[in-house]
Amino acid sequence: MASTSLFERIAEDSPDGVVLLDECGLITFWNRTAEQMFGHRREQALGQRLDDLLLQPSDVDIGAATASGAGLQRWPQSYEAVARCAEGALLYVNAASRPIVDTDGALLRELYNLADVTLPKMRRDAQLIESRYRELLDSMPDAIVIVNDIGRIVFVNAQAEAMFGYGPHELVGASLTVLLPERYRASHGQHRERYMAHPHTRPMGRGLDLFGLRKGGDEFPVEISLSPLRTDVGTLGMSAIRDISERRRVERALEEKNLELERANRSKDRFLATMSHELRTPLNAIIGFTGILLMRLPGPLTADQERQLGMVQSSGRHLLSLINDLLDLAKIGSGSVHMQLLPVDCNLLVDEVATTLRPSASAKHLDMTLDLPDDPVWVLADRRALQQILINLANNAIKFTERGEVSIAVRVHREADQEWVTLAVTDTGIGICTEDQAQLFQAFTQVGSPALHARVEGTGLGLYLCGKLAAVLGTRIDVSSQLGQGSSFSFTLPGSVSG
Amino acid sequence: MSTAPRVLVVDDNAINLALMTYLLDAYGFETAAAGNGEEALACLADWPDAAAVLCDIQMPVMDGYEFARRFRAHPSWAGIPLVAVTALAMVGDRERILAAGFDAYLAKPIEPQTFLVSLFDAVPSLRAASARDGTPGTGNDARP
Repeated sequence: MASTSLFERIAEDSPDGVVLLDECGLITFWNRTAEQMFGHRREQALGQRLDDLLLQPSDVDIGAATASGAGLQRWPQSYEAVARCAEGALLYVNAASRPIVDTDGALLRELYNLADVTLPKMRRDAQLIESRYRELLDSMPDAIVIVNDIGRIVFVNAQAEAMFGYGPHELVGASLTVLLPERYRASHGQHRERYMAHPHTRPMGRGLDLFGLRKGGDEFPVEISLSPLRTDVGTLGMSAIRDISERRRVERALEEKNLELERANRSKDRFLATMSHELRTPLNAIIGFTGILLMRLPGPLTADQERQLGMVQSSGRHLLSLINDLLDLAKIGSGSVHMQLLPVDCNLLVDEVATTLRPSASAKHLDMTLDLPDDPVWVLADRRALQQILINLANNAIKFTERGEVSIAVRVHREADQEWVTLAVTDTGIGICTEDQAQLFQAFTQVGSPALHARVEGTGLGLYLCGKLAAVLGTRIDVSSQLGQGSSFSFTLPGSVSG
Repeated sequence: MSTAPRVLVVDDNAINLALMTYLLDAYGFETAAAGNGEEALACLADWPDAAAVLCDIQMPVMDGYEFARRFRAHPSWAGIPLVAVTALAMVGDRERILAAGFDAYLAKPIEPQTFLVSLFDAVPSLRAASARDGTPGTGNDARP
C-alpha cells in the first residue's frame, strides 16, 4: 500500500511513539520512537494487542471501540497511561488516539501517539515528596527510598544516598533496580507489582536474604521494611533499608567463635581424659605396691614400716580423691559433665555415706546420726553427684565440729502434685558468720580465721564443687549457721517413683 | 607340670605388669605377661586353656579394644573371661569398654587388699579356679 508507505515515512521520525491498530485492535504499525520507548522491536510488536502493552485508567478500553465499530464520538481522546516495556520496565506515557475512517465513515484504523512523560512527571512528584518529607526523612536513622508505582525512585534520604554511594538527587528518576544486584532485577518487577496491588506495612524480617548494590558495584546485606505512602500523586512505596553487613560479620564471627569453642572443649575433654589416665597409672603402682607390702605378701613388716606404709597408702588415696575432684570440676567447667538423672534410693545412699564417714566422726568422738523417714524415699538425681555432695558436706561438718554431733536428715514434703525431698547435713560445730556465708561456695576460698586454716586441712574446692554439682542437678545448697552454734547445709530435689 | 589356673595379664606398663602378676602369683595363679594386644594373641595361641585374661585398654601396637574384637572372634577362646583393668575411669568409659566385648571392668588404681575379691565377684569362675579361693599365701612362699 503506497499510502501506508507514505504514512510510514512521515511517522517513522516522529518524536512520539506512533502506533497504528487495525480494526481488531492489533498493531499494524510501530515506529522507531515506539521501539526505543518500549524496547520492543517492530517485528516483535506487530500483531500484538496494544492493550497488552499499555496499562491505562480503567474507563479507557484500547481497541474496544475499534473492534466493535462503536463509540467513534469519543475520539479524539488523550489520557495518561503506563507503558509496559521490555524487561519489566514501566514508563508514564501520554496516549492520544484518534480514528482513521474511510470516506463512508467506516473505521479503518486507530492511530496512537504516545509521548514519554516519565521524567517530567517524576520531577513533579519528586518535588512534591521532597518538599513534604525531606526534613522528616533525613532525620530518620534508616536509609529511606521512596518508589512510585512504576518502580522509579522519587525520593532518597541522605542516609540512603550515603549507604548506596550516590550524590544528592542522583538517584531520583532512576529505576529502583539500580540498587539491586543484577540477579534480583528480573524478578523485582513482579514482587513490586504484587506488593503495590495490596500495599501493606511489612516490617523488617529476618530469614530473608536481601542484598543491596552500591554505586561502586559492591554488594551488601540489607534488611528492608516496606510501607505504603498514600500521597496526592498516588500510592508510593516507602522502603526503610538497614545495612546489616556489620551484624552479619558479627554473626559469622560468633559462629566461628562457637565452632572454635566446641573444638576447644573437645580437645579439653581429650586432655582431661588423658590426664586422668596418666595420673592414675603411676598411682596404680604407688597404691598397688603399698597395698602388697601392707598385705605382707613379700614378707613381714616392722611396726614402723607398717605405720609409714600406711601413710604412703592414705596419701595415695588422698591424691586419688584430689585428682577425681579436680577432674570433676574441670569437666563441669567445660560443660561436658554427663549427669544421669535416675531414681535414687535416698535413705540407702545416706546410710552408705554415713557408713563411709562414721570412722572419721568416731575418731573425733562425734556422734553421726541419721534422721530418715521410715518408708523408702526416692529422688531424681545423678547418684554419683548426689553422693559426692553428701560426702563433701558431711566431711566438712566433721572437720569443723569439735564436740557434739553431725546429722544427716531426709525430709519429704509435698507441693501440689509434686513430692520434694530435702536433704540436710547439720553439725554442732564452729559455725559461719553471715559475711562469710556469702563466700562459701567460691573456689579456693576458706572462710574463718587463719588459725582455723592451719588446723583444718582442705583445698578450698569442696564446697565449690558441691555448688557446681548441685547446679547441674538443678538445685541450690542453702546455708543456715550461727557462729559457735553450728551449721546446716540443705538442698532439695524432686521426688521420684521407685526405680 | 603346673596345675595352677593360668591368667594372662596384658599391660604396656612394666610396673603395672609386675604388680598384677605378683598379686596373682601370690593367690596361686600361674601368670603370663604381654605388653600389648598382639603379644597377648600370640600368648593365647600357646595357652588355649587360660582361666582369664586381664587386659589394659590404652596400649601401643594393638590396644584393648582391638584385642577384644579379635579375641572374641576366635571360637576356641569363647569360654575365657576377659576383664579390663584400666586407668580409663572417666564417666562412660566402663560402658564403652563393656560394650567392646569385655566381661568385666576394674578401674586403676587397684587396691590389692580388695582386688581379688572384686575380680572374683566380676568373674565367679575364677574363684572356683583359684586353688586358694581368694586367700593369698604369706610371704614369698606364695609365689610358684
